[in-house]
Amino acid sequence: MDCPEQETIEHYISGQLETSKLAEFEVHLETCGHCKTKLAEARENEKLLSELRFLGTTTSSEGNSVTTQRVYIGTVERAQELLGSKYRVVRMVGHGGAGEVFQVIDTVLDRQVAVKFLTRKDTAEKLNKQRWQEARLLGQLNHPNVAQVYNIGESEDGVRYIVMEWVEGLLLTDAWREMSLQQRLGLYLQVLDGISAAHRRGIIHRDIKPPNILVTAANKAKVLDFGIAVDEQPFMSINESRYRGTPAFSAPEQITAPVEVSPATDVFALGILLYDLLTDTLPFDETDPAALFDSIKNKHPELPSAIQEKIPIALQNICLKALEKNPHRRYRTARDLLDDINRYLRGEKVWSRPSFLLDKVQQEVFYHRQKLKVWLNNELVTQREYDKLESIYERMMSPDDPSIIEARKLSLSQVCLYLGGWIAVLGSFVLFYKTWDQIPIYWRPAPAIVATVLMVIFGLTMWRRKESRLSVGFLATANLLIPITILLTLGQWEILSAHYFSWGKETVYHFLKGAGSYVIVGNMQLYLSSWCWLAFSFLFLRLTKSSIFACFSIISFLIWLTTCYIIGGMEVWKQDIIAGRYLFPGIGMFVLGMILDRRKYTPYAWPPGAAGLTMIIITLSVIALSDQTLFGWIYRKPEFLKSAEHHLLSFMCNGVIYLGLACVCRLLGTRFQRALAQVLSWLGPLHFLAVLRILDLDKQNLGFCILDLDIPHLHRMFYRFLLPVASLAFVFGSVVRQMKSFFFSGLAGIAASVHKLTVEHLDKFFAWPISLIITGITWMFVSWLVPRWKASVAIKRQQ
Amino acid sequence: MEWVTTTQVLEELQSSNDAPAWQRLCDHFNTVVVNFAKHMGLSVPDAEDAAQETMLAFVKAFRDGKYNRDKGHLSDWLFGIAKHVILNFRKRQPLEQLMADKTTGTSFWDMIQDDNSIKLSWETEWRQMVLAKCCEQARREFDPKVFKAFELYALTQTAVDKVAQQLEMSRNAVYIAKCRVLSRLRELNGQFE
Repeated sequence: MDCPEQETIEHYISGQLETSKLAEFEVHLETCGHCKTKLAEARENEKLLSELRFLGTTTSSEGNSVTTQRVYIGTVERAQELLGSKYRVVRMVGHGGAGEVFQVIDTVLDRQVAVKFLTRKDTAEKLNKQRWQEARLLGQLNHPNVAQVYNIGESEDGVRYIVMEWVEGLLLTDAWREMSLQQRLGLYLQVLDGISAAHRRGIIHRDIKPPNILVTAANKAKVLDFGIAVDEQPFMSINESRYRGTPAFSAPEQITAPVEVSPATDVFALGILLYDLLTDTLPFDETDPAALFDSIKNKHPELPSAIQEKIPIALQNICLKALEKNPHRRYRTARDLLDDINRYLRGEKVWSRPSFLLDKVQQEVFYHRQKLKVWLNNELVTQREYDKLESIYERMMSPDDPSIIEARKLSLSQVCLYLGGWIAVLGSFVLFYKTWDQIPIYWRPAPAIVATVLMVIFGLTMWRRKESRLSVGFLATANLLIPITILLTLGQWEILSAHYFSWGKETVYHFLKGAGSYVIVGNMQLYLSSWCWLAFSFLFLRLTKSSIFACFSIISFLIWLTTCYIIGGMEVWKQDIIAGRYLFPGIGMFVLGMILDRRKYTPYAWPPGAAGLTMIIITLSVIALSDQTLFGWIYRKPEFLKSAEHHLLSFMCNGVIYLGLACVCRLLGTRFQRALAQVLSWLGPLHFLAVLRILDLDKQNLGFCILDLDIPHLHRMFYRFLLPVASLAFVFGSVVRQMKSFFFSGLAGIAASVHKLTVEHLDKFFAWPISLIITGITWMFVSWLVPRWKASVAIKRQQ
Repeated sequence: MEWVTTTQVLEELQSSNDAPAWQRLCDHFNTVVVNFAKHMGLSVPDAEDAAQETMLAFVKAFRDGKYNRDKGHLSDWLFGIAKHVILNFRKRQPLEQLMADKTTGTSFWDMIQDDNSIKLSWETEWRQMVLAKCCEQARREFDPKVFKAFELYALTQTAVDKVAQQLEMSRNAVYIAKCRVLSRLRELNGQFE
């Protein structure tokens, strides 16, 4: 490989290099000193760049920083002058580069309040309508864990101020130092409660940190400076255009242009607070701001359990999920975080997993899989070992979405959701199979159509909102409603019905008649509805990857296949052979399994694949035993054979079919198909040899009945000799393609032949077992000596 | 403005007593001290006075031979002087009494920084000044198109395709521009102090 372009190095550093190129580049790096130097240099450059971005260093030719204008309050007298007579200023409690806060008595209501003056002129100007509106909203928020905003105002001189609840207490972090984990979590939950109440009203705090949370004497947590702190309290006088917040508690999106703040921004700060709660340290504690910001953006925190061994893993996972770099991967709001912690406290399973740990695992797995392929090619691992590891790795690479796992749990809400859906489906079904004269014909399908459309819309909306659990419920209901609605619509409006369509035989009608149905359903209608059902099941399966849609796909596919079968006039077969009607569905399921596997839905491929194969085996076996023939050309009965012989030979034909299927499966070559091939490759030879053994049987008393196959003596003699010959052929033939199934079947066949020979001819001849032993030992020695002899001959020839 | 390293400023200050040397010193460090003082809560006029006082104290100490470059960074030494001067300025204001009683008041309102945050604030100001000067110098040295590519792609994080299209360069040229400018900035950064 030539030295890569600068672009590749850039992408490598930023972690955006495609996986396919990654391994190639890393291999190149090991050998190319020039690229190593370039990479090291690029890494150093990135550090400097991170610092430049954080500091917002001007690159303008003027280069001078702008001076910030401040309004200076400074004294109690000046504050009193600005506030007027409604308030009596007691003292100043804080001041700094950001604002000035005074302890004040509201003389009208006779209560203590805190008044915060927005002293930075630029900030006050930037406190635009929207944020001011947010402060107003906050004024309406009356929550025990949020310091309330009582009033906002502007003095005659244009100085803006906010009147807030006066809170006395300890800093949260100071308060919980002596507390147990449970007590700390109790306080933390209060904080979450307060913040989630604000999130519900669309208010974002933007600057959650321990100094903004106080714990009162009554052990009540109060969140302060809500939604306002950021505009008023920028970190340092620099770079205000880019950065708002407190460095150690900033989310990556707060320190990256363009700044995009959402409730998830607060979740990140809450994650840091939780980390502090668990470990008494901060996840990002660099003192150098550039290094700190670099860590927040690019580095993952140390695992809390590495700092404090006893931390529950569920809490660790919750904390790390809240600290995800990508806001979309975090909890969306404080409420979601609260729910997960409550789940932990209730002793329920917490599904949250930090994506960076999964990414790390997947990256390692990716490398290992690459190596595994090389090992397989070099025969360092066997195909079987490779398949086993691959299957484990595949599961690790695509674990089920936690929401899907959640959707499978039968909680009260889940049960209610599905029950509701089921009732809607039942309602539509009742609408479908009874005639409702009270409703005009053209309006009869309307309720079902409306219900279907609503379910689809709700389902997709919920999915977009990442409410996967609900989405699966709605979409599953929609999926069941779709075929019913289509059948109902087509039936009521007489589209594609038996009257107008030559293929429209009323099949379902006969089925439903027993249930008192008045509806006549044409086959073409059934075909169309099952096809639509299948299509939607696939669509929803692709969207949600939920196994429920895999089940729907299988059922709809079977119905669709049956409809094709009926439309094709093949129902005649079922009158001849009962098993015949299951053969095609069996093949259909088997093919579906194959398709699903090819489409990388291997977990969903197993049920239809295995069920299909079982159906094929059973139906072929039944057909082989039947007097009727499905495929005359395979099972045509030669005149000279008797019936029992014919059935058994049909079994041998089945064995050949299985071997053919095994070849097809092996040629297609995925892990799933190789597994099917494995099963089939055992069935083939076993069918063949077992039948040979049975064909050689005389009249046998089985205890409960007498088995008399009535096979002519000449034929039996032929089979008697064929069994050991075929068995030996299998044993030796297995060497060619490492066919263990043939080898073991051959061994079994030989054993059967020996048994037969012993029982029938040699049971009184004592030399027989001895000669067998001697033959065996001789074979062993020969097999040991011959290669040695061949090797020594080869060496002599070389000399 | 020409490129002047800290070493050059100090050498000039050591050897001459004239106005240009003083002016160069002020150009170099004044903004840092003013911004720092503002961040410490001083008003603009007070911050400027405090910066002036800091410079005077610095020059006096330097000429008395109290600063030895082998024993520490100039930044740390200047920080010590600036902090001392600014705290003296603050003492003249009627605010200190308000710092009392941290636990009974709403401590979060106490915006008076601790030592760590003061130091952090200073270091940030200092780094910003150093990097700004390096950027000015790099801008002078590089072809405007190359520097613009760096600014757009690296600093304002505009998409590389957009930058390449806007400046009529190849994507790789944009990446190379970023690499070259940053490498030079690192060199200048090393030279400055």
